[in-house]
Amino acid sequence: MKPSDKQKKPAPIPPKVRPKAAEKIPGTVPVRFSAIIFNVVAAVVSFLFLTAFFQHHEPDPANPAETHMNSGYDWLVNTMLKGNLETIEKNPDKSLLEKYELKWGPGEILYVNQIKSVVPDTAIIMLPPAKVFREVGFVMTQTGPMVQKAGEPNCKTFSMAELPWITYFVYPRRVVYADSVGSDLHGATYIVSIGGWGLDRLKYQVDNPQPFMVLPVNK
Amino acid sequence: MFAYIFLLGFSFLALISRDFKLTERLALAMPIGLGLTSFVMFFLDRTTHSITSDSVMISVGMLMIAFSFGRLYLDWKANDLPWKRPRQKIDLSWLTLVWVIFAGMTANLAWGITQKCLFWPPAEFDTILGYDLLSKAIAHEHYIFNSVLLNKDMVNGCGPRLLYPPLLALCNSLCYMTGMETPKLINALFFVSWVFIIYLLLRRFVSSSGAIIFTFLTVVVPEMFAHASFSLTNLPCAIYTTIAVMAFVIWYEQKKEGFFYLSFVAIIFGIWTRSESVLFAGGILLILLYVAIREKRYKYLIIYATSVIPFLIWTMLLKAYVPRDQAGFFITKPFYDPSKLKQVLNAAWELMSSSNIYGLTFYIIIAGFFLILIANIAIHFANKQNKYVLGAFVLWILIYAADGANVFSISLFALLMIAVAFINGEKWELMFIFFFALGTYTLMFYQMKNDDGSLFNPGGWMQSGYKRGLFCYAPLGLFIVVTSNWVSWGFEKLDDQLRLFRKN
Repeated sequence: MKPSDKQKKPAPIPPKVRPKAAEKIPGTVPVRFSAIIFNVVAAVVSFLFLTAFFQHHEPDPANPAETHMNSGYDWLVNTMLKGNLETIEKNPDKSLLEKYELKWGPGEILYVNQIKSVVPDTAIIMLPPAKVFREVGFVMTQTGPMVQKAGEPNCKTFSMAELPWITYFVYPRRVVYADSVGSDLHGATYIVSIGGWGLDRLKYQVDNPQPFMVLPVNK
Repeated sequence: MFAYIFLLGFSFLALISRDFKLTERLALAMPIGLGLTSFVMFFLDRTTHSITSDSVMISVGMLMIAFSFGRLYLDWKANDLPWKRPRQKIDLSWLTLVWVIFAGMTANLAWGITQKCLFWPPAEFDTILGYDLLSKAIAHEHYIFNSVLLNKDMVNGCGPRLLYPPLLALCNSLCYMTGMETPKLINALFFVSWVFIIYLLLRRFVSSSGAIIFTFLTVVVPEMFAHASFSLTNLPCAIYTTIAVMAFVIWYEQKKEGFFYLSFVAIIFGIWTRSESVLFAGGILLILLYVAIREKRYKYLIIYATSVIPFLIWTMLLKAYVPRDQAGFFITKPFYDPSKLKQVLNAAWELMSSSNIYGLTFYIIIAGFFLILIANIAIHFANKQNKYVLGAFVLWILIYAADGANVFSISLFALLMIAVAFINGEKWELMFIFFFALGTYTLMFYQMKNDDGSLFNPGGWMQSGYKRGLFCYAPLGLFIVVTSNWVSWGFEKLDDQLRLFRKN
């Protein structure tokens, strides 16, 4: 303490203010009764607003192109969200593959799974050339996809004809197409045979050829 | 891992400023943490060529500790350590039944879409043939320029979506590194944080009922809401750019230094997600140029100008490493084609006005613009400048009635809005950034090639790219409306009546 500092009088201790009985929540005081009435009215208005906002309109068969002012919000809650939550509730324990199957149907994703289950992570897979993918596709059946000639009813084209698409699903396995590497196997140790293509590149005879097969180059 | 990332964002926000409330720091922590982590990963890639979960975790942990100690040191120097501060009293003066109803509805929707997001695996074309493919490769090969990005066939097959700046791909790869089957947690974290962020940033200007109603309106924009369950870059980009612009406006209006740096960081992360965010940086830089000239202070302008550096670095790295045959999308020469311009504007308005895509959002925004224009002119009519604005408004009505919406009439309307905001103390800077970015964004599509008709085709550039790019503008337009003087005044009066607990 410096000499010049005077001994200060201790500041009086303020009397403790006891909270009023009405002040139940610290830092706030309840407001007048009219606010409660206003809140109830505003809550009813809000509720009515939200009901109108998300009101569901069934599509009119006579005028399917008809849209309502709230059609986006209606779709969002009553179609998209409701439908998805129902699906989630019915299928709580689906695996990743099953979820894809649920979303896209029993199609190409099952072929992809076949590739993944046969080919080890480090392997290179050879897929048919673009010409084959132009000539054949697949149809979805209850038991899974079936290879079909392109142009047949309900025939879908193979997405695996696109390198990024198939790489996404089979990564870290590497993919090469037969037409990009010519007759060379380019290190491929597995071949995806579609519609009989590729069986001649194997170093052994296949006893029971199937329309879609994932086979090692060497037995 | 994700708890560390959250703490990294939280400690970073604490370090840069004490301007942020605790709730704001909690809401912003995850997107900021993810953005910072993506830069940490990029730094690891460039220095050690090895992005592993261990190296990321150690780096994030070290940064988090450094930021926390940095904050404590600053507080200690200022003799203001956190545990010595008086505790804030609980304040419930914001609570109204309207708030409870809209907050409940918003929470219900957010919960539903998050469940959807986490249930379904990524199935969107752009993510499979783009960022998520890259993120799988990053997680497995431990570097960015990996077998996917260096494969010419892959790059050509994926198109530009593989070449976007790497924020989302890096964040997604964290999920794969930590053993998850899908990266959808990232989208859920972004969206849930976003709901809180909109509300809390709006609360800086608007009473609780106004903020929650407009938070609800922002969350429920149909196309954006649907994207909350997709693994695409558009929503994270919109989140970062909106944070950047809203934080910039808080800095400009309320002189809170911390929000300038938040805006700066958020725009960097926005640009690091999608390059088109650079348009917002351009708008903000023009405002900062005005500030610099008016106040002879160049600090903020110079700092903010550096936000485009990540964009330049990424562009240079792509040029240096990535093999590709793609020709550019843009016509490099300036040209004037009124019919193409008209087509772009019509397609843009078709998307904005579609009740299936943007619902009532752009109608609310336009109604709000007219309210701002008319209310300010009418109430401050004594101001001579407002009389000129009224004259210009009448002229605009005549031009619009004669020739409809074209570049001239839309530009004149934008100028009118900026002028009326400037004259009457509205947030003119926000109006300027909105119109500048939206205008240049739309013109960007006009400048695109359309040799194969892909610009206007169903599913073409306008129908997909432009539509999703509007995610940045829908929240900002709503932000302009609700924070305008008369709308926020209206909500203030409403809340005066609804307030259940008064402040002591």
